[in-house]
Amino acid sequence: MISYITRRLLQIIPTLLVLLTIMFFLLNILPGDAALLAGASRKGQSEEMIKNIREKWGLDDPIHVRYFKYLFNLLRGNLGTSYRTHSSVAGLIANKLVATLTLVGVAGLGSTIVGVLLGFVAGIRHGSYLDLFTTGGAIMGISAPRFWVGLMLMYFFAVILGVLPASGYGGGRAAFYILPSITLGIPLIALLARTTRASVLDVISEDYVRTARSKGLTERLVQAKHIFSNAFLPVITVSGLQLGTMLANTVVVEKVFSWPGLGNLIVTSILRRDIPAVQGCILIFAITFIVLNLLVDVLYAYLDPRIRYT
Amino acid sequence: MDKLKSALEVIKSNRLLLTGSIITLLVIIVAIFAPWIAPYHPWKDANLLHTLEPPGGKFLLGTDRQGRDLLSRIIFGARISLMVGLIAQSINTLIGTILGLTAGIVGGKVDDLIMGLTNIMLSLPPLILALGIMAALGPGLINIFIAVGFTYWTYTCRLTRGQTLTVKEKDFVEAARSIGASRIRIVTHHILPHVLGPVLVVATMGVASAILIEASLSFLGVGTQPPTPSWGSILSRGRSYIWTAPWIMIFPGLAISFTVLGVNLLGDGLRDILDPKLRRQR
Repeated sequence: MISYITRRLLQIIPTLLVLLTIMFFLLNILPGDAALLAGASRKGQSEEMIKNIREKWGLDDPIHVRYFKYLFNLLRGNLGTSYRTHSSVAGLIANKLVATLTLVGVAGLGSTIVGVLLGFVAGIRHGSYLDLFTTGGAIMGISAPRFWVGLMLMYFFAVILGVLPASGYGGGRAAFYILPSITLGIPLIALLARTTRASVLDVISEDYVRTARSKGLTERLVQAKHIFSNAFLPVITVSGLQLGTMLANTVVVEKVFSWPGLGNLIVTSILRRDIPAVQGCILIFAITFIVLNLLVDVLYAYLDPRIRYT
Repeated sequence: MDKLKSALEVIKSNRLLLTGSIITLLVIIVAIFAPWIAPYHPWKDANLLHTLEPPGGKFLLGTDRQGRDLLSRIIFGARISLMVGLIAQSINTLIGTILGLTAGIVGGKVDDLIMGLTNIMLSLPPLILALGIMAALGPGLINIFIAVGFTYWTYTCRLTRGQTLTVKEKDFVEAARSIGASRIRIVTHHILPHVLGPVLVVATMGVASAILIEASLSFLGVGTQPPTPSWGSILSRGRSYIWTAPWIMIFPGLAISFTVLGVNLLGDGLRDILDPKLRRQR
């Protein structure tokens, strides 16, 4: 197990290196002079000022020199200087990452609970209205674009009913989390409800469930102990894999709700041609995504002793 | 003629496929005949006397800030969405199939290289990958084709490789080889036909994903630029008018959901027909 984790961790390094290299060359061989743009963002740009910026950021160096400088700085934890804010990219990201990760965390946890419960009840009472509703809702939840679902929720709860704040971070108060995390969580709820339902339907006809019933255990105990615990394993995989997608969806959801996270940062940086910030955001997204996937694999191996990675 | 008849029979007997085909066909017809269907020009007919008018009357779905007819803009938007869906997904399918076939047939170092690249691409979520490419290329419709077209091929590639590896070992391939068929002939006549079915299913689903990615990019402001009437960018503008003119953001979203639902149902139906075994795997 430990050797498996070590090997997977070591694989991350070449993956990231190739990814970074491709991104660096893609982003840095492009039309549009970064120094000009940076100068333009300040008032009263002059020839001299632009020349200063070029020198300060090393924009006159050949591309391969800049590439190795970039890698070298990266090794020291320096993600570069933002063209837009003239502050360190690492600091910029650190500020936003917390807002994004808490949103993903709240949405992930909340939708796992809701999705599993819905699917579990739908499975136990399959054929009922709740079952039909869950299955139908799951299909709709996958086809509608995330940002539109978010806007519709905002329209309904903030504009029409006026019970929840429309957008913003609100200093991290709970009410501000509700709409963004529901928007972010709907696909996961849909997927989990479907998976749990199918899984429950598989388990419900197993011999050990019949045995448990026939030896006189209460229905509640059978459901909790024999059905739920066995139906739970596939749920973890789905949940984990979906966390990655959720991370990507934060970009759109944060834009909808003006959430001050990494997703908003990367979009602003792209629009303002802030290449160091774009590179930094992509790096952080990649690392988070890879680590999440690794965690799911490890958790899965831990929970199911039949799986052994060699 | 008989073939067409039996094809129609199959479509009729599969409700998913039937519904999906009808919806998709409808969107295609709207896209093709947009100039004749739309009551106004999507961006030239700006009428400042009729800004932010609610749905009904002269403007069936209302107007936007510039007084442009929302319905006409949505009708023309179908062209953008379908174009991105079809062109970008064709690029994906072409790259994925060629690389997957090559990896599966040649094997060895080439296989390692292609699968290595695939895994690196998969270490970023598709939307982030597309965002990164858009950041490098800049906004615009052609760049969206490229960004989305180079994002999703990994799934096709893995699928094609897997299928190729299975089919390669089948008796009929061995038979073809033993009677002296050339390598290229074996690939084009014996392996490719068996790979294409599943690829077609994934490609159809991919059209839906491509449409969603384009809408997302345009919504974020890095995709198509005004005055191009893309559903995503209309919605993006509509966000500011959620308090005063909510119809601007409601209807384009319905159009996207409707189209994506249609294409997804079509893909589900195709999968049921082409590969019943795959049915439970979603």
